[in-house]
Amino acid sequence: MNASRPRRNAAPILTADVLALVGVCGPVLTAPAPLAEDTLRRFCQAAMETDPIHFDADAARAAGYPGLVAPPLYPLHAFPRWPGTPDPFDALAGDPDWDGIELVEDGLPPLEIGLERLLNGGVEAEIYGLAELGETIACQSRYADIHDRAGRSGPMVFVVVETDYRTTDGRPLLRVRTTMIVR
Amino acid sequence: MSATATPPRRTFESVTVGDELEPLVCGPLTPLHLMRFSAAIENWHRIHYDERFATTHDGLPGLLISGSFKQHVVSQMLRRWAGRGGWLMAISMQFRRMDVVGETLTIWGTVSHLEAHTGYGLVSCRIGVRNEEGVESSPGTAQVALPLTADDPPITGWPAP
Repeated sequence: MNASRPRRNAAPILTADVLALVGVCGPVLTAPAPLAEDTLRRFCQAAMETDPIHFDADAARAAGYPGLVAPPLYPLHAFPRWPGTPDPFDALAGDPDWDGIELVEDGLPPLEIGLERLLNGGVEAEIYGLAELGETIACQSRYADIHDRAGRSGPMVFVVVETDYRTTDGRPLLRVRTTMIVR
Repeated sequence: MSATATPPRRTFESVTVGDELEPLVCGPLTPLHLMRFSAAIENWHRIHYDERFATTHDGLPGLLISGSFKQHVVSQMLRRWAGRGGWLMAISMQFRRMDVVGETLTIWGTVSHLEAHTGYGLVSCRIGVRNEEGVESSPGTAQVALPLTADDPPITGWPAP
């Protein structure tokens, strides 16, 4: 996930409006297409994944799955931009030094925090199942926690977003908590 | 990394606190590896593939290896160790330090706690990512469920809360 949601303006750090977002859920988002074999192949090769249950259907069946399955953390990447939506690279026309970070497509309301630097602080994942070929992945996010702390170089805000990934049939796949550090 | 790797069966009764999980050595990670991963997940953050941007614009020591990539290779090490019948239940990692292009990462784990249940056992591990100089970037913990004995069925999923 890209740590890009907080707006970079000069507001107070943790206002009541920001804190009121803890517990707020975004909408259920559905991947634009079912899991396809070639998408899985490309992802596994890029992640240097070598377990044959991801590319050899016989090995997957022998391991107890109905067919090819995705690696456990694959659902994080199951929501690519679809044709007909704006090209994020259009941002380069206005700013050749655009950093390439796209807004996270989690549907959560933006955070109004007047701090500049964004870091990916860490990730916690609980794994319930592996997505199967032909299944469509859906996700829903919520603000699980927002708190601040005095850091060595000034205030730091910790924003924890929890996202549940399921198949559109309702089979649980994964729960991920991502901690973004804003300072 | 080898071309294919079918994990063996591992049982809970064969595991002892203090056991070291077989490390996974990954690298040296070149700009090609980083570019391929960014393209596959369609993450266009330039610090992972545009060296001029990473160094001149953002003042970084080089292209950064993404946290997304590190969490995938950590999951691979744990799943290989868990074996065909085991189930990687949970991973938690903190990204405390940057890993830069050119590094060879060693993904490591150590068994820290064991808890037997009916039909399966839970193995807690300390995990992390070290570079060639032994510097740790991404410490964390993980939990793996293993069949108690070779007679218990493989675990191919875990109940959601």
